[in-house]
Amino acid sequence: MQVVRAAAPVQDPADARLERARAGDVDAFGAIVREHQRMVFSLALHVVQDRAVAEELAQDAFLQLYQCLDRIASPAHLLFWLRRTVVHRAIDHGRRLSSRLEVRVDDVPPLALVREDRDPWLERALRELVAGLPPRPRAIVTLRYQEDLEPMEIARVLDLPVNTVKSHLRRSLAVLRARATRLKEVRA
Amino acid sequence: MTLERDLRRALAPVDPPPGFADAVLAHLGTGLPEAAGEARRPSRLVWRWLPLGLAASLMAAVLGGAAWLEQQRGRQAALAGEQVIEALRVTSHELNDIRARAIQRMAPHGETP
Repeated sequence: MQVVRAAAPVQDPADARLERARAGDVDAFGAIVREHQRMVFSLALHVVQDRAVAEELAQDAFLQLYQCLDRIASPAHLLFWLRRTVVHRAIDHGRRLSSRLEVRVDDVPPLALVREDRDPWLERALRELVAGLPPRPRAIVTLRYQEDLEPMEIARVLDLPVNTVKSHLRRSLAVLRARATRLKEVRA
Repeated sequence: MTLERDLRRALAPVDPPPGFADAVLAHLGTGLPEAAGEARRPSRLVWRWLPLGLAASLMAAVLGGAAWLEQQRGRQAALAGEQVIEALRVTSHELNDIRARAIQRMAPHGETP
């Protein structure tokens, strides 16, 4: 008689890693950190515009994650949780700062560095223009263009009505377009 | 559309500093994850306000020291005053004694001091 064994259900590696991390496996948690560190650090950096502060905020987000791994239901939930936590922390930090960054045309790289396909001058100027937005619109623009999130997803991350997100995006783009045009004229 | 494309490029994800993940794991190893954030290590704000805090502490120490010295001086002056009064009291008592003895000696001879 032939014994047929039922195949064990194949577990997604990300699910397995999360499960091991929940069980206290530090290596599994390290793998989670390595997988998401770029996203978390960049979100913080693009909102606060300060590498040291961004590093600190990103570290805090991961340490907080370690504390509440039991409440993380899935890898998708983990991604959502990380985005939400770091962006809220970055917005809070931005609100505490009284001064805003100002864009200085002479602060940007010389024109010799400009390549055909990419324009470092423009990219840096845009980052600084985004930094000049108030913290919440800044976070919305970052989530939209760094993470490619749709307004509905951004609304969930930030606990905002989707129409509020859309109107922030519309106004921010209008402001950025006007300022970028002015900068380009000055540069020309 | 061009602006949106440029924004995507400008806000492209960047790598954290080397050793970032190891630093996070090292903090787990210290057994301080429950302090995630605030108490785990001095924040940049602490370093920013540290010189001001030190200056304020130094000033408080100087002012406190000056007040203490002033109080000590006051106490010493009060003590010295009490000692002078005690010395005068003793002197006065001695003089009264001498005067009384002189009166006693002169009295049998019918002399008055």
